[in-house]
Amino acid sequence: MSACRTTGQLEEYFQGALGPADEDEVEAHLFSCEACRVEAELVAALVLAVSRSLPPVLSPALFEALQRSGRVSGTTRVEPGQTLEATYPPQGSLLVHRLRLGETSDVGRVDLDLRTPEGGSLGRLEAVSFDAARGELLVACQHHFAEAYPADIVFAVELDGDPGRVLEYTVRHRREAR
Amino acid sequence: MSDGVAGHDDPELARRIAAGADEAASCEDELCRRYLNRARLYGLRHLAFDVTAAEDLAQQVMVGVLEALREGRVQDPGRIDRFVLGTCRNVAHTMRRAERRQSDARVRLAREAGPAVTPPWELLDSRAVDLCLARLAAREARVLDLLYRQEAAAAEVAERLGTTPGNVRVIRHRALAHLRACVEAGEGAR
Repeated sequence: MSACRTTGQLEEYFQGALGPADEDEVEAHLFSCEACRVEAELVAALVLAVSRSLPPVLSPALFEALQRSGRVSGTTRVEPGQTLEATYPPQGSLLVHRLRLGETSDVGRVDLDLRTPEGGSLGRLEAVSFDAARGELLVACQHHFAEAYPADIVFAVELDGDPGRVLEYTVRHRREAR
Repeated sequence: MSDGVAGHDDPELARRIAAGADEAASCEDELCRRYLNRARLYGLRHLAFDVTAAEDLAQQVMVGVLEALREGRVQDPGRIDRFVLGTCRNVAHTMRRAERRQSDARVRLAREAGPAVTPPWELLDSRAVDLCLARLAAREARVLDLLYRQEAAAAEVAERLGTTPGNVRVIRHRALAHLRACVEAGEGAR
């Protein structure tokens, strides 16, 4: 049996980035090595989970597709500087916050910082999709986010990487009534 | 139950199935337990990560392998691993060419009667992965998004991020390692 594969090589395999000879060798090894089979299962499981997950910011096309499929249970419209109250959506469905950006015809890049009202960082998303035609940024809010995020979230949208062009929106989330 | 045959190596299982030994049914279950997920992984890689197609491929492969063993068509049971891999290649080729889903009675029978092997797509809690994704560094999250959600090639991701394909591979590797550590530690929730 050939030598065990590294996790990086298995990632390359599932990426389809190996040459034919290397790919044949990896496959022959996976069919004879239990340890590498288990490792490959985990790599594939992670890749699958990521590919099936929804991005936190939706492109207009994905938003429309989700609406057509009935997964969007509601939307909000939030203006810059506004504080809005919203209820987490039911399990399996989405609430989409439509953050109004205003005129965006000259905007090439949008970054999104998630913060607490006190300024604590909850994460940053770079170069996210936005709807230039409607001047909106579409944030997907899911039921299980209640487990991971505080109720009050500030979405700070930075336009074109310019700290002087930051729009802030605050959403106060409530859990659905039981 | 296949407890009594778990100590046999793969060639021995294959020989006992081919010989129609008393415990052949248990040997078949054990062989399926060992190779079902390998066939699923092969299907994921070669059938565009389509879970349904990968499952169909795995079921067809195992049915085909067991039939070949029973009918004495496996010339070298000592290399049963190569035979299963070869069957995977043949089935994938047929599926790609025909672009159809096989769901005949034999496949359904194998699916219902086969051993319970958790497929790769059910190994992880998708919600936990979702929450751990939100904890990645921005650059790591973006690389995974581009590679796996948007199915961009590494070269295209490199161009969009202003870096090299080699660096994209490094970021991807770190991102998956961080994601895995977070999920395994149950740290999705803050």
